Amino acid sequence: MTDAATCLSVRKGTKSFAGSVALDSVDFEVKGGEIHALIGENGAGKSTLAKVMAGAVPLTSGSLLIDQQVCAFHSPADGLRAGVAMVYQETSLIPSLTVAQNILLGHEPWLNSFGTAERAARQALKSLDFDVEPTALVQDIGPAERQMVEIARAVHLNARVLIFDEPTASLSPAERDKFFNLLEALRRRGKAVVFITHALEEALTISDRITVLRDGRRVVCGPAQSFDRQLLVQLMVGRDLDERSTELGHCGVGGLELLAVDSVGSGVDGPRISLSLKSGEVVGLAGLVGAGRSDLAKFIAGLSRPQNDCNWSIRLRGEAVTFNTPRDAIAAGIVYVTEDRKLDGLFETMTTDDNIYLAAQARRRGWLRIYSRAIRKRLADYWRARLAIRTLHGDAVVSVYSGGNQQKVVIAKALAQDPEVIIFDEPTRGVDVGAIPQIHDVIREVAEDGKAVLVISSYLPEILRLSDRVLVMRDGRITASFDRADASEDLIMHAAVH
Amino acid sequence: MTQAEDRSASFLRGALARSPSLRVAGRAFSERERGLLSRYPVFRRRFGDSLDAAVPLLVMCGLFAAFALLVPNYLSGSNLQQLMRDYAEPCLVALALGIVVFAGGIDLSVGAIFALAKFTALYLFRIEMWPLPVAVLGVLSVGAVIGAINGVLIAYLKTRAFLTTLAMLLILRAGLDFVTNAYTIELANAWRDTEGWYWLGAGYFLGVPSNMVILLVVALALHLFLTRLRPGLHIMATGADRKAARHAGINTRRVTLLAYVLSGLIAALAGLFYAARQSSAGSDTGLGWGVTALTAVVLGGVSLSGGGGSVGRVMIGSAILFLLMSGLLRMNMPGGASSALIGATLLGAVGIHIQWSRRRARSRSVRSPVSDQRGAP
Repeated sequence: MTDAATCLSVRKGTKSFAGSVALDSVDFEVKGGEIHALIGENGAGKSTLAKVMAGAVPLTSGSLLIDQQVCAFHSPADGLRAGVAMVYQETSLIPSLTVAQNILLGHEPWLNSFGTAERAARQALKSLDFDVEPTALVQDIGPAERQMVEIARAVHLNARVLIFDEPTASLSPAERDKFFNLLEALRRRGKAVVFITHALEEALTISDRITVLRDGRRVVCGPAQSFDRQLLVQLMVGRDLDERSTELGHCGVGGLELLAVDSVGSGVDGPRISLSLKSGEVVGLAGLVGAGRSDLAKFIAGLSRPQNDCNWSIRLRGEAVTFNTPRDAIAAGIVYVTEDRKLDGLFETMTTDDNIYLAAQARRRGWLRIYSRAIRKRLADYWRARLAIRTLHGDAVVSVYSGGNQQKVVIAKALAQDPEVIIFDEPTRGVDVGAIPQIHDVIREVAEDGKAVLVISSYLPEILRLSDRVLVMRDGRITASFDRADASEDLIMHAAVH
Repeated sequence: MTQAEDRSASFLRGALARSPSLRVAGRAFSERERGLLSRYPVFRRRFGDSLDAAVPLLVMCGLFAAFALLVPNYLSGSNLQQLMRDYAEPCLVALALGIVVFAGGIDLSVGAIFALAKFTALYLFRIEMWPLPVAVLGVLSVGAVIGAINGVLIAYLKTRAFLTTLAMLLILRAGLDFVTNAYTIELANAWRDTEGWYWLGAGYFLGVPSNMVILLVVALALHLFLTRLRPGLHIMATGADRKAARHAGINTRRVTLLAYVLSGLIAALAGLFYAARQSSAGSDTGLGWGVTALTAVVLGGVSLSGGGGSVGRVMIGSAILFLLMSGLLRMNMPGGASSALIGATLLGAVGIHIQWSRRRARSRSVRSPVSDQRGAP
């Protein structure tokens, strides 16, 4: 089954973390001069498999072969020595060092000067046509540039096998194209490339072979031409996912105005932000990354304060309010569902039950409260059923759940606070394909219950699918507003970039 | 890609090409800026960053100037020499702690290592009558071994740095009490002096006290080590982000061990000079030096979470503390108040540092809707 060109393979690779099996007897191989896409839902074991190949995670059983030779990696250093380099999903750069130092990190010469490091890095970046300043500190550059630096590092190592874990997630379309050209070039140079992606189209167009993982098992591996999008989705999810029509049913547009936010501008060009949310309505907020959508949301929900001389007015049911803390906002009925659940969405070391029960405490007042296991269980069971949160064994902490289930817990936490206005920030980021429609359904249901919903998303089909009204933000101001019937991806994009 | 997505993508691409200011991430450097940017990071810092680095230096100079005005004969040659001699050892101990802090750890036992090294130096030189170079090597290896024990426990056996070095501190202190009691009389009676030993304790090189010379040499070497040499860069990288460093193929455990060994070495070096200067082995040597070193590190603006800071900062922090303590002592402040002063200074520095970095973080945050003043392009 493996031929001479195979330069890295995993045989019957099994990895279990504290009882739960992440990889179950997986076979995988990659040849020189091939791009091999690894796809699967979140939690399917793609990242684990990649980390096994890079040496960051040891196998529980099974073997790893380089050039048909069994070898054991104990650390990423071993992997690098054997010619396997990986670009990790979570960033692996040192913020306090320069770009140049980061590119050379781990394999720099014994004696370094800033000058030689800079020259080497500049050359590496130039050969990849990446526009990043090598003398900049990594903490001062943006996410896309960081990604480029990581890619440059992996390529600079001159590894034979390059593994990319969702490399395109933070790249702009132009940079993405550049990246794909780079993969082509690597393939021509005879490198073996493994890349993990959620974008099925990328896998279908770029790769030679595709391996689909589901629940830690390999479902299928075959040439890219033998798949199409529909088939891949089916294989990933393992059931016939109804990729429903791009629109969900819409209830009648908006009743009462629940929330109105205006900046009474000091600016010459009129009010910069004017936003109103009505009950029973989903409003989509589109825009490029960095347009200030999350900042606006966080400001509304009391997480951050405005810093300039602008006067803001927030009116909730017609009454002017100001929130100094999220607790105030929650008490008034406004909750924010974070875009980064790892950072501020979950108590990662607690169970689902505790997460939901604790969130529900935010609406209670007073110091002396009894911690009721019965109420906790009732509450958690209710939300588990309502959001179809998969249960692992009794007291599994949320950090071991898959992305989709974690996101559902975050949403359950917000809904358990019984809000009237809910702001979802990137509600399906890093969520498995199967859970996305479920989350969309929940969002619509919430609106149908008469709440006001604001959805921030960078994925335009999602905005179009969910929203009754679409607002577009750019550079900290709202630049366009469309009704559902008038909105199209073109129009939104136009308002977002011009 | 769906057609619509494709359209929007090409749209975006066009927009990006037209307007460089729209590049989503980060700021781009202009050609001119690039020319101006030196290859040294320090020149590349924004004003806030350079101010951040300059504040401790300004405080140090201010203190020095203030005491020069207030204390008679402060600027006399003999006083300056005495200041340097007294400054060198605590500063070395602060550097010993600094290395470990850069590597993302903490070492409470540096003061105890220093004290044990002092005893060892006296013991080997005066009682065992070892030749000076051999005795020096012996002292240094005692420091390195204790550092290595700390390092192995923390890096390889994954014990908590705080607790491990606290335990080490207690053990070393108890051991030190024991041996000083056992050898007090012998040490008091033993007398031996050589030229080398005299130089260590009271010698000068071009008018600079011997221990200050060594401090400068060690500091320069350490600075070059941390910024230019591979293992030094690995120490900084590991301290900044252990996981990222591991992913980059760095053996983080070995790097952590190395940091503790170096720390032990430098602390022992300080103990050696102190021994040559103060011939009696009191068991209270080095009591509180660990805390002083920690204060110095924080005063210099070094982040205790690792990866930040520099040798220079530690030295400046140490100098601020030293000038303050010695100056106030000269102005007849009661001795007991000095500990309180260390505490107050530390609290003040920590408070100011937090306020300062919070403000900086705020000004650094990229365009927020509420702060962005720019008009539409």
